[in-house]
Amino acid sequence: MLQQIREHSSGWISRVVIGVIVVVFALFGLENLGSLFSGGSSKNDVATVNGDGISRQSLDEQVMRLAQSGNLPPERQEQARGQILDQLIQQKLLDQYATKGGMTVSDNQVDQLILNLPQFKSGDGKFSTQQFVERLRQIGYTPDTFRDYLKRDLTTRQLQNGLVLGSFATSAERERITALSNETRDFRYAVLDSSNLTAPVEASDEELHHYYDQHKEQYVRPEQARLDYLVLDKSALAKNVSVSDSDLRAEYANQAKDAARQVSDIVISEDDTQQAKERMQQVQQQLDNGASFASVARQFSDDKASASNGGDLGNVTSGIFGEPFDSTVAGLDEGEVSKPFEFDGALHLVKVTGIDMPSFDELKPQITERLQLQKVNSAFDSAVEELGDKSFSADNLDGVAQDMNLPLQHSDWVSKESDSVEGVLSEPGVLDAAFASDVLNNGYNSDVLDLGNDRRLVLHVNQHREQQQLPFDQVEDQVRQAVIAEKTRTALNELAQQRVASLKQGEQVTLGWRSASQVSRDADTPDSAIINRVFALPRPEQGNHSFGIAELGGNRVAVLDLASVGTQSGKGDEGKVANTIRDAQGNSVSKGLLDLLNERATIERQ
Amino acid sequence: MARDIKDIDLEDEQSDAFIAWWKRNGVSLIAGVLLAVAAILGWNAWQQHKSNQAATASQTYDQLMELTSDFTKLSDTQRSQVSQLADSLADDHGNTLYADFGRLIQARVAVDAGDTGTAAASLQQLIANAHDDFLKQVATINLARIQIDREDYDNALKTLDIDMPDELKAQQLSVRGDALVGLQRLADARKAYQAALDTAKAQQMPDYGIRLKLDDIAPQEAS
Repeated sequence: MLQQIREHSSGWISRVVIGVIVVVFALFGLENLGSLFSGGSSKNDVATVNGDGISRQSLDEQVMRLAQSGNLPPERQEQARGQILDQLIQQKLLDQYATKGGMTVSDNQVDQLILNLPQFKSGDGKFSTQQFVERLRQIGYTPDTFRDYLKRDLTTRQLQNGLVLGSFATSAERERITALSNETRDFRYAVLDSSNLTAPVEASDEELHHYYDQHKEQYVRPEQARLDYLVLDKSALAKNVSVSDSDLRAEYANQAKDAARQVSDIVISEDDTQQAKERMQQVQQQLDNGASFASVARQFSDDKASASNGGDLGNVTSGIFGEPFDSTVAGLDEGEVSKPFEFDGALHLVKVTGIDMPSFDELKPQITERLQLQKVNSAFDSAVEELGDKSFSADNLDGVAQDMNLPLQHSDWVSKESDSVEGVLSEPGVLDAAFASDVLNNGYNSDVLDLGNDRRLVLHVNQHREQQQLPFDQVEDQVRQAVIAEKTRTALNELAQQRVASLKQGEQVTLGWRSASQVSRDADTPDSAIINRVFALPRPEQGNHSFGIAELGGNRVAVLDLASVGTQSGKGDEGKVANTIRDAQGNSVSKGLLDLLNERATIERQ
Repeated sequence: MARDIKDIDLEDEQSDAFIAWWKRNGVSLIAGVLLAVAAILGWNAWQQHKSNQAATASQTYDQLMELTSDFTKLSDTQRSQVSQLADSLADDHGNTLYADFGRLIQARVAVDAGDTGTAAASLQQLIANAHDDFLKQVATINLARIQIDREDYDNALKTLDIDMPDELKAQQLSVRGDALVGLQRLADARKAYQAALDTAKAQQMPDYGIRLKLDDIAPQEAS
């Protein structure tokens, strides 16, 4: 493009264009010009929604926040990534809908909310900046990212509130639904099972084959593969890194330098330098003779306030007094006394009486982990590179595993939509990579997949089998069960229909009847299949009964005899019913909108 | 010394070349710069204007939400405030979703106060001016429900007679069933309710009330 501009720079159009570019650069900086051309997505995205990217970083951050809040145990984190990504996608869809519809929340509105949130108020009920920053840190936000989050959250809430607050129940609806939900029914029922049949149900070979032929699609095994895979995990790598004791001590000492120290101070303040030096010598003499620092301070120190406390200044962090006080204090271990030094126009002698820091042994595991991670960084990067190079050129992963000393893991048969996979294989993109044509059919090793959290995975298809119709012999038992169940249900239905026909004739029918009176729709007993069917029977006309059949689970069928319909009073009052109607409407419009947005969106993962 | 003179000559040559170049290109370069500056300033002013507009709409809507956030009956004063807010969203920010939501909420408040006339009117306004198809369809269903409440069953059926996305079909069919029950066309009502149940199931939508209404009009079978 630049070449073309130069070639045609005699033309006035390109001169104007250059002028424009110069000014844009000057006012916006390079970054913005880049974003003008690149659009909303980039390579680092885990998904795009209508061309708008969701970055891997934002997914990682969201997982981390949930983990930090304690709502997501570490062992579930990786599995949850997929769900969290789904949530981010849904959020993005709503954002886009709201933004397109001109909905937005201003910085001012966000700030108002922040100022009023009780979580950020200190004891006196006023907004506390310190508390604000502290709380945000706990939940994994910076003030800027939190503001962005609130902005999106408030906009989404405006959207959802609009749908919910616009939902209502008309008075006709609430009357009708209230009356219907207060209805009760009096009836009797008898449950029939295979023991009620005169002859046991049997299935002939012919019937089995016939059923199998009719239901072939139920006896198909999907395309499957067995996978070999390698996982490179930075934190696992780090655990093998040895850290020497001297390194640990050095790091501990390093941290100790910054820790707050409890300091006692003896101040000699004389106009005459010589006199001051002499008095300081006296002080040191006393200390050498074994007098305690506190008693000497009480006797000699010219800082009366601290002298009465034995020179104690309390906890001192660097920056309070400044140099050379800070560096002198930082150089002292617990119990050590400094040499005399001049500071702020006086001579000082300081003693560190305590360091506000856990012991070395307590901190050792923490420091070890940190040093290991530091050390492993470059090792991990080169291991990732090595993994990529080696797996790219190798026919399978056996040699790569050996060379890199990584355990080669093997999966059982998995299919593309397999819910049965667990662990790393269930993470987004892994099965997709396994069933990509190059990997599945050509036997190449997959690319190095970035699973997030500093983990990489490479996989190889060890065995592959196409979707297969399972032969009858392999599934005969399953087929037999299905046929027997179906025939039993048919026979029981016929039997029940005969009984119903007799009842309609007004005959006495002897069955194991049970009676049920004043049963409401939401009653716990009898079986809900019976209740639902009883309520779907026509209201019996005066003096008559309504009859019906209900299919129950476990290959059972019930004969139903409905005597009368009544009303229970006071249960579902109109107010409650109105709420339920409104909620149901609000929910189904909200869900409807989201479904519609999903349906119309172009969503790409990875 | 000689070398210095040569250098000066060179500089002269360069500045001559520059002046010549400037004479040829200067005007259009300056024009380009001015054009860009004007465009950026104009763009910023337009953005600023738009964001001010948006902020006003958003704040007005916040007031409306606050006023109507619990479902208790509002006083007459509060109701007229609701109408004012909804009107101002519709008049000043008609091309935003806020305008549509304002009308939906205004209708709900009127229904709760038993004023179905106002409710119907505000939904009709929404339908006439809707910014968003989905909300227009929601408003259409709501309008039909209000017409049924006013026992205006024929018009309710007419109102409902539009294309809906699958996501709203279950509600559309259920309300259609209600209108048909009002007209005592029970066989048709049963068909509508059954279709509503099937659609709700296919869409994994809640089917609250539909089953009750369908069961309520179960036919006296002959079999």
